[in-house]
Amino acid sequence: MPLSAVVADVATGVVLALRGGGDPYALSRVLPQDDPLAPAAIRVLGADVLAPYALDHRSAPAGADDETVVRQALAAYPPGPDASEVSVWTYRGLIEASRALLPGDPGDADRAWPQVPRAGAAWITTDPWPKLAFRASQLAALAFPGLAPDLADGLAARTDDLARGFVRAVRRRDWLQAAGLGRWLARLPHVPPTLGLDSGLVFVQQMSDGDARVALHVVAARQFYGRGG
Amino acid sequence: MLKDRTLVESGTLTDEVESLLDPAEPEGVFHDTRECAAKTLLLGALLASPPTPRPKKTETR
Repeated sequence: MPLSAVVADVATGVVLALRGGGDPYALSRVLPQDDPLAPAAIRVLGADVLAPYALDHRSAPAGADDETVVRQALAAYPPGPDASEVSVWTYRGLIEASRALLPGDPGDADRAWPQVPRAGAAWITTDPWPKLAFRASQLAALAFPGLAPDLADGLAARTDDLARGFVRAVRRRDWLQAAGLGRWLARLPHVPPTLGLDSGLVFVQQMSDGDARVALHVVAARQFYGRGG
Repeated sequence: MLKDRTLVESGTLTDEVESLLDPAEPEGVFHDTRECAAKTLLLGALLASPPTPRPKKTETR
């Protein structure tokens, strides 16, 4: 099975948990057992794999198995010296979410989470709006409540540019980008009401033909911020 | 030998992870409405403008 398919399967499990369907969520249960692609899928989805733990009633308490698989992902796929900004930011996001939602133990060197790497932030102010919008959409997992507050503040200053990017992505029929931007916009204050974000998110999900990662962004926008119908 | 193959597979998977994290934006043609309107107005103005005056031919004998 290709990695993208494993990522889609895990994303589907997260979506079901966020919607409140099925058994209480446990990350280690939605991952393919003993599959070397499991840590890679966690690294790709980033903080989103822990999203149901932020909704108390949608999951069992995170356990040692969940902690182990996330540690494996962080150890196996750290951003290299030539890694993109997106790679560094998503790695940061996964560490921050793990600290907040998984057991860990800062006093125990073996169970402490890795240090958060420095991530460049100049692009937030300097990127032209189409590029900014695309990059922000790739970081939609960080639009998690309380995560990456500096990034959220920087993007809030460019809310209009993200709104333009949302419209652009819809017109290009780039549903994943549109969903990611819609999720950021759901988190940010002062989104122009003329954008029609709620109906836009519903439209994006309907048009995406069941794309699990699109559904994940849309459901997260609804569950955490009450946007998107 | 097996170790070498494992390393290659691991490297390939790392590349795959990076490419899924940071893929290139899909190709698409985007028309900025305001830019298109400005270009249309410019084209209209050019078409509606009178022809460029040419110097009159003067016969020299």
